[in-house]
Amino acid sequence: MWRILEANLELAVESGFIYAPLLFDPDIAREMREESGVVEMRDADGPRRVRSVIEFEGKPFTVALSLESLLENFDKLHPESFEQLKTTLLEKYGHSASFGSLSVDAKLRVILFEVLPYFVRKRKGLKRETPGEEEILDLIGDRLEVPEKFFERADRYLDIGPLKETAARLRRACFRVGLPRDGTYEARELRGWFLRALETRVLAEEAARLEVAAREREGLKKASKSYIALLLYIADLGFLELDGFGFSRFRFHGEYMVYKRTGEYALMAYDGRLYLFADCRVAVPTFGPLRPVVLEKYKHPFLFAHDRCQQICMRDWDQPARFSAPAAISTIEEGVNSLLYGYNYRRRNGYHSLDRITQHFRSVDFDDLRIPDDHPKIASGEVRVTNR
Amino acid sequence: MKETELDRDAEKEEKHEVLPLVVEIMPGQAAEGLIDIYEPGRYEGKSLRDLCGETLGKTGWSIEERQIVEDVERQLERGKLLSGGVGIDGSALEYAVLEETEEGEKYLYVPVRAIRPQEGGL
Repeated sequence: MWRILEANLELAVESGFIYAPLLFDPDIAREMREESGVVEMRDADGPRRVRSVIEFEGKPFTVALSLESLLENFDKLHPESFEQLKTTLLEKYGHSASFGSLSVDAKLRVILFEVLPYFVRKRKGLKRETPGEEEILDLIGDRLEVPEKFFERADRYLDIGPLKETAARLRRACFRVGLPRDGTYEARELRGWFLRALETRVLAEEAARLEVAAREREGLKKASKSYIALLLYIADLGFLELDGFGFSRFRFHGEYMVYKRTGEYALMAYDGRLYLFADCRVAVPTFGPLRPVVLEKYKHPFLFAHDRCQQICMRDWDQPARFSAPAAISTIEEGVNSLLYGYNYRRRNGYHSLDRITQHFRSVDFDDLRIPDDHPKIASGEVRVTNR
Repeated sequence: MKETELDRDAEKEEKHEVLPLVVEIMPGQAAEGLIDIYEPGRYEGKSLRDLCGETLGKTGWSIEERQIVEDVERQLERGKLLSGGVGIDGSALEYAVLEETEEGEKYLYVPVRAIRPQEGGL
Protein backbone atom coordinates (compact mmCIF):
# COMPACT_ATOMS: atom_id res chain seq x y z
CA MET A 1 0.00 0.00 0.00
CA TRP A 2 2.93 2.32 0.68
CA ARG A 3 3.93 1.84 -2.95
CA ILE A 4 0.89 3.81 -4.06
CA LEU A 5 2.69 6.95 -2.86
CA GLU A 6 5.76 6.09 -4.95
CA ALA A 7 3.87 5.54 -8.20
CA ASN A 8 3.63 8.08 -10.99
CA LEU A 9 -0.09 8.63 -10.49
CA GLU A 10 -2.64 11.26 -9.81
CA LEU A 11 -4.41 10.46 -6.54
CA ALA A 12 -7.35 11.98 -4.75
CA VAL A 13 -8.02 12.64 -1.07
CA GLU A 14 -11.43 12.86 0.60
CA SER A 15 -12.01 12.92 4.37
CA GLY A 16 -8.51 11.60 5.08
CA PHE A 17 -8.75 8.66 2.66
CA ILE A 18 -6.58 8.19 -0.43
CA TYR A 19 -8.44 7.34 -3.63
CA ALA A 20 -6.66 5.68 -6.56
CA PRO A 21 -7.57 6.41 -10.20
CA LEU A 22 -10.19 4.16 -11.75
CA LEU A 23 -10.13 3.11 -15.37
CA PHE A 24 -13.11 4.64 -17.08
CA ASP A 25 -15.37 2.21 -18.90
CA PRO A 26 -19.13 1.97 -19.56
CA ASP A 27 -19.76 -0.25 -16.50
CA ILE A 28 -18.04 2.14 -14.16
CA ALA A 29 -19.82 5.06 -15.80
CA ARG A 30 -23.15 3.35 -15.13
CA GLU A 31 -22.19 2.64 -11.50
CA MET A 32 -21.26 6.24 -11.01
CA ARG A 33 -24.55 7.44 -12.46
CA GLU A 34 -26.39 5.24 -9.96
CA GLU A 35 -26.44 6.18 -6.33
CA SER A 36 -22.86 6.14 -5.04
CA GLY A 37 -21.94 3.08 -2.92
CA VAL A 38 -20.60 3.37 0.61
CA VAL A 39 -18.09 1.00 2.12
CA GLU A 40 -16.81 0.49 5.65
CA MET A 41 -13.14 1.27 6.05
CA ARG A 42 -10.98 1.51 9.16
CA ASP A 43 -8.91 4.48 10.11
CA ALA A 44 -7.07 5.44 13.30
CA ASP A 45 -10.39 6.02 15.11
CA GLY A 46 -12.01 2.75 14.06
CA PRO A 47 -14.53 1.79 11.36
CA ARG A 48 -15.95 4.54 9.14
CA ARG A 49 -18.33 4.58 6.23
CA VAL A 50 -16.82 6.30 3.20
CA ARG A 51 -17.79 6.61 -0.46
CA SER A 52 -16.36 3.78 -2.54
CA VAL A 53 -16.07 5.83 -5.75
CA ILE A 54 -15.63 9.60 -6.07
CA GLU A 55 -15.16 11.93 -8.97
CA PHE A 56 -12.87 14.96 -9.34
CA GLU A 57 -12.85 17.04 -12.52
CA GLY A 58 -14.66 14.23 -14.35
CA LYS A 59 -12.11 11.61 -13.30
CA PRO A 60 -13.23 8.62 -11.18
CA PHE A 61 -11.24 7.41 -8.18
CA THR A 62 -11.80 4.40 -5.92
CA VAL A 63 -11.09 4.28 -2.20
CA ALA A 64 -7.70 2.77 -1.30
CA LEU A 65 -6.58 3.40 2.28
CA SER A 66 -6.69 5.72 5.23
CA LEU A 67 -3.79 8.17 5.55
CA GLU A 68 -3.96 8.20 9.35
CA SER A 69 -4.07 4.41 9.52
CA LEU A 70 -1.02 4.16 7.22
CA LEU A 71 0.77 6.68 9.42
CA GLU A 72 -0.09 4.87 12.65
CA ASN A 73 0.80 1.40 11.40
CA PHE A 74 3.75 2.14 9.14
CA ASP A 75 6.22 0.63 11.59
CA LYS A 76 4.33 -2.68 11.59
CA LEU A 77 3.77 -2.73 7.82
CA HIS A 78 7.32 -1.75 6.82
CA PRO A 79 9.52 -2.30 9.90
CA GLU A 80 12.88 -2.07 8.13
CA SER A 81 12.00 1.15 6.28
CA PHE A 82 10.64 2.61 9.51
CA GLU A 83 13.76 1.76 11.51
CA GLN A 84 16.02 3.23 8.82
CA LEU A 85 14.02 6.42 8.70
CA LYS A 86 13.92 6.65 12.51
CA THR A 87 17.67 6.16 12.91
CA THR A 88 18.51 8.78 10.28
CA LEU A 89 16.05 11.27 11.73
CA LEU A 90 17.17 10.90 15.35
CA GLU A 91 20.83 11.21 14.38
CA LYS A 92 19.93 14.42 12.54
CA TYR A 93 18.54 15.82 15.82
CA GLY A 94 21.52 14.73 17.88
CA HIS A 95 19.87 11.80 19.68
CA SER A 96 22.80 10.14 21.33
CA ALA A 97 23.15 6.35 21.26
CA SER A 98 25.12 6.62 24.51
CA PHE A 99 21.87 6.72 26.48
CA GLY A 100 22.02 2.97 26.13
CA SER A 101 19.06 1.13 27.49
CA LEU A 102 16.87 4.05 28.55
CA SER A 103 15.09 2.32 31.35
CA VAL A 104 14.30 -0.97 32.89
CA ASP A 105 11.20 -1.74 30.86
CA ALA A 106 7.82 -1.85 32.55
CA LYS A 107 7.19 -5.56 32.03
CA LEU A 108 10.54 -6.47 33.56
CA ARG A 109 9.63 -4.44 36.62
CA VAL A 110 6.29 -6.27 36.88
CA ILE A 111 8.06 -9.63 36.61
CA LEU A 112 10.72 -8.76 39.20
CA PHE A 113 8.64 -6.93 41.77
CA GLU A 114 5.16 -8.47 41.47
CA VAL A 115 5.41 -11.95 39.93
CA LEU A 116 8.72 -13.17 41.38
CA PRO A 117 7.75 -12.48 45.03
CA TYR A 118 4.76 -14.84 44.63
CA PHE A 119 6.84 -17.80 43.48
CA VAL A 120 10.09 -17.30 45.41
CA ARG A 121 10.37 -17.72 49.14
CA LYS A 122 11.70 -14.58 50.77
CA ARG A 123 10.94 -15.22 54.41
CA LYS A 124 13.77 -16.69 56.45
CA GLY A 125 11.83 -17.30 59.63
CA LEU A 126 8.23 -17.36 60.73
CA LYS A 127 7.74 -13.63 60.72
CA ARG A 128 5.73 -12.42 57.79
CA GLU A 129 7.03 -9.29 56.05
CA THR A 130 5.90 -7.65 52.87
CA PRO A 131 9.10 -7.05 50.91
CA GLY A 132 9.72 -3.80 49.10
CA GLU A 133 11.69 -3.48 45.87
CA GLU A 134 14.98 -3.20 47.72
CA GLU A 135 14.33 -6.37 49.74
CA ILE A 136 13.56 -8.24 46.53
CA LEU A 137 16.74 -6.91 44.91
CA ASP A 138 18.60 -8.01 48.07
CA LEU A 139 17.28 -11.52 47.58
CA ILE A 140 18.41 -11.54 43.94
CA GLY A 141 21.69 -9.77 44.69
CA ASP A 142 22.69 -12.56 47.08
CA ARG A 143 22.76 -14.90 44.09
CA LEU A 144 24.25 -12.65 41.39
CA GLU A 145 27.64 -11.01 41.11
CA VAL A 146 27.23 -7.69 39.32
CA PRO A 147 30.15 -6.74 37.04
CA GLU A 148 31.91 -3.46 37.86
CA LYS A 149 30.87 -1.75 34.63
CA PHE A 150 27.24 -1.70 35.79
CA PHE A 151 28.18 0.43 38.78
CA GLU A 152 29.69 2.92 36.32
CA ARG A 153 26.53 2.71 34.26
CA ALA A 154 24.49 3.39 37.39
CA ASP A 155 26.23 6.78 37.72
CA ARG A 156 25.47 7.69 34.10
CA TYR A 157 21.94 6.35 34.51
CA LEU A 158 21.17 8.91 37.18
CA ASP A 159 22.46 11.84 35.13
CA ILE A 160 19.18 12.77 33.51
CA GLY A 161 20.21 16.22 32.22
CA PRO A 162 21.17 15.00 28.71
CA LEU A 163 17.93 13.00 28.51
CA LYS A 164 15.80 16.06 29.27
CA GLU A 165 17.76 18.27 26.86
CA THR A 166 17.37 15.81 24.00
CA ALA A 167 13.66 15.39 24.71
CA ALA A 168 13.20 19.16 24.60
CA ARG A 169 15.15 19.42 21.33
CA LEU A 170 13.00 16.74 19.73
CA ARG A 171 9.81 18.43 20.95
CA ARG A 172 10.91 21.75 19.41
CA ALA A 173 11.44 19.98 16.08
CA CYS A 174 7.88 18.59 16.01
CA PHE A 175 5.36 20.52 13.95
CA ARG A 176 1.66 20.06 13.54
CA VAL A 177 0.75 18.31 10.32
CA GLY A 178 -2.94 18.41 9.41
CA LEU A 179 -4.54 16.04 6.91
CA PRO A 180 -4.37 17.08 3.22
CA ARG A 181 -7.46 18.94 2.00
CA ASP A 182 -9.91 17.08 -0.23
CA GLY A 183 -8.79 17.21 -3.85
CA THR A 184 -6.36 15.67 -6.32
CA TYR A 185 -2.61 15.39 -5.85
CA GLU A 186 0.38 13.94 -7.61
CA ALA A 187 1.48 10.84 -5.71
CA ARG A 188 4.84 12.48 -4.88
CA GLU A 189 3.03 15.41 -3.20
CA LEU A 190 1.17 13.03 -0.91
CA ARG A 191 4.39 11.15 -0.28
CA GLY A 192 6.00 14.39 0.85
CA TRP A 193 3.10 15.05 3.22
CA PHE A 194 3.32 11.49 4.54
CA LEU A 195 7.05 11.71 5.24
CA ARG A 196 6.62 15.01 7.13
CA ALA A 197 3.80 13.48 9.20
CA LEU A 198 5.89 10.36 9.89
CA GLU A 199 8.82 12.52 11.01
CA THR A 200 6.59 14.33 13.48
CA ARG A 201 5.28 11.04 14.81
CA VAL A 202 8.79 9.63 15.31
CA LEU A 203 10.06 12.80 17.02
CA ALA A 204 7.04 13.09 19.31
CA GLU A 205 7.16 9.42 20.34
CA GLU A 206 10.89 9.51 21.02
CA ALA A 207 10.56 12.73 23.03
CA ALA A 208 7.80 11.11 25.12
CA ARG A 209 9.95 8.02 25.66
CA LEU A 210 12.89 10.13 26.87
CA GLU A 211 10.61 12.11 29.19
CA VAL A 212 9.18 8.92 30.74
CA ALA A 213 12.69 7.51 31.17
CA ALA A 214 13.86 10.74 32.84
CA ARG A 215 10.95 10.59 35.30
CA GLU A 216 11.65 6.92 36.12
CA ARG A 217 15.32 7.61 36.71
CA GLU A 218 14.44 10.60 38.86
CA GLY A 219 12.37 8.24 41.01
CA LEU A 220 15.41 6.01 41.51
CA LYS A 221 17.70 8.78 42.76
CA LYS A 222 17.10 7.73 46.36
CA ALA A 223 17.91 4.08 45.69
CA SER A 224 21.41 2.90 46.42
CA LYS A 225 23.89 2.64 43.56
CA SER A 226 24.22 -1.11 44.09
CA TYR A 227 20.49 -1.62 43.55
CA ILE A 228 20.52 0.42 40.37
CA ALA A 229 23.59 -1.49 39.15
CA LEU A 230 21.83 -4.80 39.88
CA LEU A 231 18.69 -3.65 38.07
CA LEU A 232 20.69 -2.54 35.04
CA TYR A 233 22.60 -5.85 35.05
CA ILE A 234 19.38 -7.87 35.08
CA ALA A 235 17.92 -5.65 32.33
CA ASP A 236 21.07 -6.20 30.28
CA LEU A 237 21.10 -9.99 30.87
CA GLY A 238 17.46 -10.32 29.92
CA PHE A 239 17.09 -13.57 31.85
CA LEU A 240 17.19 -14.84 35.41
CA GLU A 241 16.27 -17.97 37.32
CA LEU A 242 15.81 -18.15 41.07
CA ASP A 243 14.50 -21.14 43.03
CA GLY A 244 12.62 -22.60 40.10
CA PHE A 245 11.14 -19.30 38.92
CA GLY A 246 12.60 -17.47 35.97
CA PHE A 247 12.16 -15.34 32.89
CA SER A 248 13.87 -14.91 29.55
CA ARG A 249 13.60 -12.00 27.10
CA PHE A 250 12.59 -12.46 23.49
CA ARG A 251 14.79 -10.96 20.77
CA PHE A 252 12.32 -8.12 20.40
CA HIS A 253 12.80 -5.96 23.46
CA GLY A 254 10.17 -5.54 26.09
CA GLU A 255 8.64 -9.02 25.79
CA TYR A 256 9.47 -12.02 27.93
CA MET A 257 8.68 -15.62 28.68
CA VAL A 258 8.02 -16.06 32.41
CA TYR A 259 8.11 -19.54 33.88
CA LYS A 260 7.99 -21.78 36.94
CA ARG A 261 9.59 -25.21 37.12
CA THR A 262 7.43 -28.17 38.13
CA GLY A 263 10.18 -30.32 39.58
CA GLU A 264 9.99 -34.07 39.07
CA TYR A 265 6.66 -35.68 39.83
CA ALA A 266 4.90 -39.00 39.31
CA LEU A 267 1.42 -39.76 38.02
CA MET A 268 -0.60 -42.89 38.59
CA ALA A 269 -2.43 -44.66 35.76
CA TYR A 270 -5.69 -46.59 35.82
CA ASP A 271 -3.86 -49.88 36.38
CA GLY A 272 -2.03 -48.46 39.40
CA ARG A 273 1.34 -48.18 37.65
CA LEU A 274 3.44 -45.11 38.21
CA TYR A 275 5.00 -42.84 35.61
CA LEU A 276 7.90 -40.51 36.40
CA PHE A 277 7.76 -37.09 34.74
CA ALA A 278 10.87 -34.94 34.42
CA ASP A 279 11.11 -31.38 35.64
CA CYS A 280 9.84 -28.89 33.07
CA ARG A 281 9.14 -25.18 32.81
CA VAL A 282 5.53 -24.01 32.58
CA ALA A 283 5.66 -20.60 30.97
CA VAL A 284 3.52 -17.70 29.85
CA PRO A 285 4.55 -15.00 27.36
CA THR A 286 4.07 -11.33 28.20
CA PHE A 287 2.22 -10.68 24.95
CA GLY A 288 -0.65 -12.17 23.01
CA PRO A 289 -3.20 -14.51 24.54
CA LEU A 290 -1.98 -15.74 27.91
CA ARG A 291 -1.95 -19.51 27.82
CA PRO A 292 0.49 -21.73 29.69
CA VAL A 293 3.00 -23.63 27.58
CA VAL A 294 5.66 -26.22 28.43
CA LEU A 295 8.98 -24.95 27.13
CA GLU A 296 10.85 -28.26 26.97
CA LYS A 297 10.34 -31.06 24.51
CA TYR A 298 7.84 -32.86 26.71
CA LYS A 299 5.00 -35.33 26.73
CA HIS A 300 2.04 -35.46 29.09
CA PRO A 301 -1.62 -36.49 28.79
CA PHE A 302 -2.50 -32.78 28.47
CA LEU A 303 -0.03 -32.05 25.67
CA PHE A 304 -0.94 -32.91 22.13
CA ALA A 305 2.42 -34.22 20.95
CA HIS A 306 5.96 -34.86 22.15
CA ASP A 307 7.41 -31.49 21.25
CA ARG A 308 8.68 -28.13 22.53
CA CYS A 309 6.55 -25.11 23.44
CA GLN A 310 3.22 -26.89 23.51
CA GLN A 311 0.13 -25.29 24.98
CA ILE A 312 -1.34 -27.14 27.93
CA CYS A 313 -4.92 -28.22 27.33
CA MET A 314 -7.03 -26.36 29.87
CA ARG A 315 -10.67 -26.70 30.84
CA ASP A 316 -13.11 -24.29 32.47
CA TRP A 317 -10.52 -21.56 32.57
CA ASP A 318 -10.89 -17.86 31.78
CA GLN A 319 -7.92 -17.00 29.65
CA PRO A 320 -6.55 -13.55 30.56
CA ALA A 321 -6.53 -11.19 27.61
CA ARG A 322 -3.57 -9.04 28.64
CA PHE A 323 -0.39 -9.40 30.61
CA SER A 324 -0.44 -8.29 34.23
CA ALA A 325 1.05 -9.72 37.41
CA PRO A 326 -2.18 -11.42 38.57
CA ALA A 327 -2.79 -12.77 35.05
CA ALA A 328 0.72 -14.20 34.74
CA ILE A 329 0.60 -15.73 38.23
CA SER A 330 -2.78 -17.38 37.70
CA THR A 331 -1.85 -18.66 34.23
CA ILE A 332 1.42 -20.22 35.36
CA GLU A 333 -0.24 -21.62 38.47
CA GLU A 334 -3.10 -23.19 36.50
CA GLY A 335 -0.59 -24.72 34.09
CA VAL A 336 1.51 -26.28 36.87
CA ASN A 337 -1.60 -27.47 38.73
CA SER A 338 -2.93 -29.12 35.61
CA LEU A 339 0.27 -31.05 34.88
CA LEU A 340 0.73 -32.20 38.48
CA TYR A 341 -2.79 -32.67 39.76
CA GLY A 342 -5.17 -32.60 36.83
CA TYR A 343 -4.81 -36.10 35.35
CA ASN A 344 -7.65 -38.26 36.65
CA TYR A 345 -6.51 -41.86 36.21
CA ARG A 346 -10.09 -43.16 36.39
CA ARG A 347 -11.46 -40.82 33.75
CA ARG A 348 -8.23 -40.79 31.73
CA ASN A 349 -8.92 -37.16 30.82
CA GLY A 350 -6.58 -35.58 28.31
CA TYR A 351 -5.39 -36.04 24.76
CA HIS A 352 -3.76 -39.34 25.79
CA SER A 353 -4.09 -41.85 28.59
CA LEU A 354 -1.03 -43.01 30.47
CA ASP A 355 -1.91 -46.66 30.23
CA ARG A 356 -2.58 -48.48 26.98
CA ILE A 357 -6.30 -48.86 26.36
CA THR A 358 -5.89 -50.72 23.08
CA GLN A 359 -3.01 -52.42 21.30
CA HIS A 360 -3.19 -49.94 18.44
CA PHE A 361 -0.35 -47.56 17.67
CA ARG A 362 -0.33 -44.46 19.89
CA SER A 363 0.95 -41.12 18.68
CA VAL A 364 2.35 -40.43 22.16
CA ASP A 365 3.47 -43.34 24.33
CA PHE A 366 4.42 -43.12 27.99
CA ASP A 367 5.83 -46.62 28.53
CA ASP A 368 9.38 -45.27 28.79
CA LEU A 369 8.33 -43.21 31.83
CA ARG A 370 7.06 -46.19 33.80
CA ILE A 371 8.69 -46.84 37.16
CA PRO A 372 8.14 -49.52 39.83
CA ASP A 373 6.22 -48.66 43.03
CA ASP A 374 9.41 -49.04 45.05
CA HIS A 375 11.50 -46.76 42.85
CA PRO A 376 14.09 -45.06 45.11
CA LYS A 377 12.73 -41.59 44.39
CA ILE A 378 9.22 -42.64 45.39
CA ALA A 379 10.32 -44.65 48.41
CA SER A 380 12.46 -41.81 49.77
CA GLY A 381 9.76 -39.20 49.26
CA GLU A 382 11.95 -37.20 46.89
CA VAL A 383 9.26 -37.49 44.22
CA ARG A 384 5.56 -37.50 45.04
CA VAL A 385 2.68 -39.14 43.22
CA THR A 386 0.53 -36.09 42.69
CA ASN A 387 -2.71 -37.49 41.29
CA ARG A 388 -3.60 -40.21 43.81
CA MET B 1 13.73 -47.84 57.03
CA LYS B 2 10.93 -48.89 59.34
CA GLU B 3 13.25 -48.42 62.25
CA THR B 4 14.14 -44.93 61.09
CA GLU B 5 10.47 -44.02 60.81
CA LEU B 6 9.87 -45.30 64.32
CA ASP B 7 12.82 -43.26 65.54
CA ARG B 8 11.43 -40.18 63.89
CA ASP B 9 7.98 -40.78 65.35
CA ALA B 10 9.52 -41.35 68.74
CA GLU B 11 11.42 -38.11 68.46
CA LYS B 12 8.25 -36.29 67.57
CA GLU B 13 6.26 -37.93 70.32
CA GLU B 14 8.97 -37.14 72.81
CA LYS B 15 9.19 -33.53 71.86
CA HIS B 16 5.72 -32.64 70.72
CA GLU B 17 4.52 -31.74 74.16
CA VAL B 18 7.01 -28.89 74.36
CA LEU B 19 7.20 -27.83 70.73
CA PRO B 20 4.86 -25.44 68.98
CA LEU B 21 3.29 -26.54 65.69
CA VAL B 22 3.52 -24.11 62.78
CA VAL B 23 1.01 -24.65 59.97
CA GLU B 24 1.59 -22.75 56.73
CA ILE B 25 -1.26 -22.83 54.20
CA MET B 26 -0.08 -21.82 50.73
CA PRO B 27 -2.44 -21.10 47.84
CA GLY B 28 -1.62 -22.85 44.57
CA GLN B 29 2.07 -22.61 43.73
CA ALA B 30 2.82 -19.68 46.03
CA ALA B 31 6.13 -19.83 47.84
CA GLU B 32 4.68 -18.40 51.02
CA GLY B 33 1.32 -18.66 52.73
CA LEU B 34 -0.69 -18.05 55.83
CA ILE B 35 1.20 -18.95 58.98
CA ASP B 36 -0.52 -20.01 62.17
CA ILE B 37 1.23 -21.15 65.31
CA TYR B 38 -0.35 -23.68 67.66
CA GLU B 39 1.22 -23.87 71.10
CA PRO B 40 1.59 -27.30 72.75
CA GLY B 41 -1.74 -28.43 74.08
CA ARG B 42 -3.76 -26.79 71.33
CA TYR B 43 -3.18 -29.23 68.49
CA GLU B 44 -3.05 -32.68 70.08
CA GLY B 45 -5.89 -34.97 69.12
CA LYS B 46 -6.87 -32.82 66.17
CA SER B 47 -6.52 -33.70 62.52
CA LEU B 48 -4.56 -31.41 60.24
CA ARG B 49 -7.83 -30.70 58.47
CA ASP B 50 -9.33 -29.46 61.76
CA LEU B 51 -6.36 -27.18 62.34
CA CYS B 52 -6.54 -25.77 58.81
CA GLY B 53 -10.24 -25.13 59.31
CA GLU B 54 -9.48 -23.23 62.50
CA THR B 55 -6.75 -21.21 60.83
CA LEU B 56 -8.87 -20.25 57.83
CA GLY B 57 -11.80 -19.40 60.07
CA LYS B 58 -9.85 -16.93 62.18
CA THR B 59 -10.34 -13.19 61.96
CA GLY B 60 -7.93 -10.41 62.76
CA TRP B 61 -5.50 -11.10 59.92
CA SER B 62 -3.57 -8.24 58.40
CA ILE B 63 -4.46 -6.95 54.93
CA GLU B 64 -1.75 -9.06 53.28
CA GLU B 65 -2.84 -12.15 55.22
CA ARG B 66 -6.48 -11.58 54.27
CA GLN B 67 -5.39 -11.53 50.63
CA ILE B 68 -3.74 -14.93 51.16
CA VAL B 69 -6.91 -16.27 52.81
CA GLU B 70 -8.87 -15.13 49.74
CA ASP B 71 -6.34 -16.78 47.42
CA VAL B 72 -6.60 -20.01 49.43
CA GLU B 73 -10.40 -19.92 49.36
CA ARG B 74 -10.32 -19.34 45.61
CA GLN B 75 -8.18 -22.45 45.19
CA LEU B 76 -10.53 -24.41 47.43
CA GLU B 77 -13.51 -23.78 45.13
CA ARG B 78 -13.62 -27.35 43.74
CA GLY B 79 -10.11 -27.73 45.18
CA LYS B 80 -8.52 -29.45 48.16
CA LEU B 81 -5.85 -29.14 50.81
CA LEU B 82 -2.76 -31.32 50.46
CA SER B 83 0.35 -31.80 52.53
CA GLY B 84 3.24 -33.59 50.90
CA GLY B 85 0.92 -34.37 48.02
CA VAL B 86 -1.60 -36.31 50.14
CA GLY B 87 -4.86 -35.51 51.89
CA ILE B 88 -4.81 -34.02 55.38
CA ASP B 89 -7.20 -36.16 57.39
CA GLY B 90 -4.47 -37.63 59.61
CA SER B 91 -3.05 -36.16 62.78
CA ALA B 92 -1.00 -33.00 62.26
CA LEU B 93 2.08 -34.72 63.64
CA GLU B 94 2.03 -37.21 60.75
CA TYR B 95 2.90 -34.39 58.35
CA ALA B 96 5.24 -32.35 60.55
CA VAL B 97 8.98 -31.92 60.16
CA LEU B 98 11.31 -30.56 62.79
CA GLU B 99 12.74 -27.12 62.00
CA GLU B 100 14.62 -24.41 63.77
CA THR B 101 14.47 -20.60 63.70
CA GLU B 102 17.60 -18.49 63.14
CA GLU B 103 17.68 -18.04 66.93
CA GLY B 104 17.82 -21.81 67.39
CA GLU B 105 14.26 -22.32 68.62
CA LYS B 106 12.83 -25.65 67.50
CA TYR B 107 9.33 -26.09 66.18
CA LEU B 108 7.28 -28.53 64.14
CA TYR B 109 6.45 -27.30 60.64
CA VAL B 110 3.58 -28.49 58.45
CA PRO B 111 3.31 -27.09 54.91
CA VAL B 112 -0.16 -27.34 53.37
CA ARG B 113 -1.13 -26.38 49.83
CA ALA B 114 -4.58 -25.39 48.63
CA ILE B 115 -4.79 -26.78 45.11
CA ARG B 116 -7.57 -26.43 42.59
CA PRO B 117 -6.74 -29.20 40.13
CA GLN B 118 -7.03 -27.84 36.62
CA GLU B 119 -8.71 -30.85 35.05
CA GLY B 120 -7.43 -30.16 31.61
CA GLY B 121 -7.80 -32.38 28.65
CA LEU B 122 -10.80 -33.57 26.73
